[in-house]
Amino acid sequence: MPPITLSSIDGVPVIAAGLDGPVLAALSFPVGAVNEPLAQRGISHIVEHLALSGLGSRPYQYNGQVSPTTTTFSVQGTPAQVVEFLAHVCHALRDLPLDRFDDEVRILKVEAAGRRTGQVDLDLITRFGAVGPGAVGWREYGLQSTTAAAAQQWADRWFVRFGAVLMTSSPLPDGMTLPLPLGEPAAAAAPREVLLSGRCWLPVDTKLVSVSVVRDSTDIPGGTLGIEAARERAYAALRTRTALSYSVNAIQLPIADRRLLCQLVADGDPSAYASVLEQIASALTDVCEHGPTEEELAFLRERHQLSAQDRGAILSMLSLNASRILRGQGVIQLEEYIDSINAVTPQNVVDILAPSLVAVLAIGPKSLGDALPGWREVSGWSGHRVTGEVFLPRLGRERGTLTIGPDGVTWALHDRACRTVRWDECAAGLCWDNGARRVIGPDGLGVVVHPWAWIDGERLPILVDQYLGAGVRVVMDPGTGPKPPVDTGPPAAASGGRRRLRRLVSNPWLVLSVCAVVLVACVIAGDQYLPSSDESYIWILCVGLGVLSVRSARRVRR
Amino acid sequence: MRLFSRPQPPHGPATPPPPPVTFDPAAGDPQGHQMMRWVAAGDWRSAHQFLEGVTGWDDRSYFLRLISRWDPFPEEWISATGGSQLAFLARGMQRVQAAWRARGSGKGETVTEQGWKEFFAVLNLAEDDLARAAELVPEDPVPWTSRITVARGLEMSKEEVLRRLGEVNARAPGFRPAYVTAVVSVAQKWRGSHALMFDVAREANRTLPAGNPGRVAIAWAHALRFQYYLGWEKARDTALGYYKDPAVGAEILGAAEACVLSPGFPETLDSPWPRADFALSLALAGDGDIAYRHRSAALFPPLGDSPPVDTLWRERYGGKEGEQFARIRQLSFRAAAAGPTQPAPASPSQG
Repeated sequence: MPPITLSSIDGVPVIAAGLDGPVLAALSFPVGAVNEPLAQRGISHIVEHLALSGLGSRPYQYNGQVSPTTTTFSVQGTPAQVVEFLAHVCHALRDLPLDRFDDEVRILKVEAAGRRTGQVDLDLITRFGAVGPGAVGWREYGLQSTTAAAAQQWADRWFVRFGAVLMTSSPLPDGMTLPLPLGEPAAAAAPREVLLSGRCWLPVDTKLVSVSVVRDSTDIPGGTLGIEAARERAYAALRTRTALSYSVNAIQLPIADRRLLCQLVADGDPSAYASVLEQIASALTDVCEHGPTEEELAFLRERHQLSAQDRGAILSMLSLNASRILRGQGVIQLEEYIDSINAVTPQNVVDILAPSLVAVLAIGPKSLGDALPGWREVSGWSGHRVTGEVFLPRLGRERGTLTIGPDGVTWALHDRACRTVRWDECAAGLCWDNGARRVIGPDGLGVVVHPWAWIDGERLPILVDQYLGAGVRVVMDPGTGPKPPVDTGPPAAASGGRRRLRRLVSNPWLVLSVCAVVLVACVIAGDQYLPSSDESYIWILCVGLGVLSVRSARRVRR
Repeated sequence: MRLFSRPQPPHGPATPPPPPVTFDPAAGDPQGHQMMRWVAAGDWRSAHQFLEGVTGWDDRSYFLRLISRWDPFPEEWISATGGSQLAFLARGMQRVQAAWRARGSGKGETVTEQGWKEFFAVLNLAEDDLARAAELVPEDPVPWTSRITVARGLEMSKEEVLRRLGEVNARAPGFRPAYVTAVVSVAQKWRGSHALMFDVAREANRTLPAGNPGRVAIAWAHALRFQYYLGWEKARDTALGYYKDPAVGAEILGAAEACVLSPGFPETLDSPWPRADFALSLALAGDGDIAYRHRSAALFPPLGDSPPVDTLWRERYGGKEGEQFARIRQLSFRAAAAGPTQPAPASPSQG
């Protein structure tokens, strides 16, 4: 395999491999969803779209991608085409084509509408709430709130030479430039406290079962091998031995500097979800606690050695080296990496993965239940409440109380169960044109404020807007909000069922018909023979009442 | 006139009507009836004086359950006794009952807004009383038992429910009322899961000593699973076949043999409750009347014609538990007279 080299263009590190064939290049910036405040979630995506919007159709392949931690512009073509593409991206990032802003946002909304919240999204939200890695799982609210000027500011701050890395499959022509602003080193995001501890269970609408941990990434690939070993173990149990699952996958997603979300996820027959959960949980926790067996490690080493001969392996090494360069480490060659894999021991795996068991999160179908043995429930309540004006619910539309004050908003189901968002910690406040509001706290818990659900609730949007900071306010598209009930007037004193019953009882013909039925029943129950001649008047009475009952039934129907 | 009278059959003697069965909060015990009279008369002093002499957590819990039917609660009891533990405990348990009366026993969607409001408000007050009672007599398992029910109603985590069950077990291992309310609290219909419910019940069955009434949790877990099939999953056929599953029958029989059918089963005022629960579960288990019904026959005579309320009979038959009790008792006696036509399976694999 050709060696990987490190050079620099205009201060941007360039990691290059000496592969033949078309040039594959990727310019990566250290900004992604984890860097975005919830109210601006998706702003990197807007910048990425704008930067590429002027290219249109080209003979070569190009793309842009926003991951949790990076935004990358990639291209595959001739050296000249790669140079042209990169020059375009750099110029566009300096001076975004803001005349395209509205169009690109519209396109992004269409793209977002087709995106579903996945198991990884839910995992990150549950672990980290609405900030940092947690923001990855939320919808792109920035598509509603971001302005063109804000997008340019975001580009000026993050899409600069500091932190950028260029990866290429072969060296690029001399004289090439990357005309990016110098910028400043981006402050590392404050490590977000994980909201979970122990083994936690989250039931959701899904057909998949997943179990995850968050681990540190180190220079020793023991963690990677450990997760792969857990996946192999789960696959053998669920597909080969018990035939309960079709797919069993392992995801290792960077979510912050040196931190990876590691998730085993499997499908399964609905009647076997409990077994699927048990198998993948035991596979993951056993490997984390005791490490893989020597046989499992030998199998994985062989697999890595085989895949190292593939072109894709060297491209993966470019990405690995990009992370190393940004951490101030030197370039590592593919052979060295294979050697480090061969040197991994079960104890290495345990050393890296065992600490991650401090917070294990399982997510699966609701049919399994809300609480499982050996797993803690994910709490949906806050530990504190605020004081302020108290609103009472309209009958049948809400429960509990809603308190809004200068410190925040609290919805309390009762004295010991409430959900609070403080204004100074608010991650986002969603505002709809019909007055509905949803205030989201940093822990991901939200308070929904529907004016129609509370007595005197028409003042609620004004109150919320008064306290909600401009930076977190997200004005949602008209007509997309939660719908108020059709009957917006005060609820009737009696329910529909009671009204119908009252109407029926007040009908004299119906009462008569009921009497007829009762009388017939009495006759049948009271005598097993036909009535004698002196009792024929009873039958005449029954027939008469029966006719009346048919008439009354017709009338009721009308 | 013969209009409203059913004529007697023309030939043969009349079949004697089965003895009337009345489900009784006191399960036929005279002391319990005396307590109910005090409650009806508002005589909290006699109740208090009597309770002070009651030893044994089972008996104490039995009388306090009768007192919890007091409505309205005599507040004077608290002030006149200087806030005694008994008074707080009685009021706490009464408030739990009152909260559930306000809510009603239907599914959540049937509860009115006012019902929810009162339910939560009264349960929070009950929690305060019961916490106080638990502090005043730390060795008493009864407040912790009621606090399990409170945790269910206030939608506390199942971790908290199990913590409270742990507190009960630390004071009185296998305390039956606690196990029953805990199993209900972690059932799927109360936002737990079938797995957690059976885990709690089976753990009790595995670890409690022979004869311990806490094993009745197994009977409750199966009844709740049956109920979920029928009422929530609307799987009528599965529900009707549930008790016929040999594994279900074997587990119920195993638990009964180590509980109410065990020589070590203690006779207390609470004994009718597990007896009634197992009597029904065994009568239902197996295929018709050949497998387990003869084993349930032994449980009916001690219950007499005054079986206890708040048992699986009520859960299954609603307002018709009296006539069903008489019918099933008769079937069980017949099965016992005939003897087992085939041995009851000792393990699922032999079913």
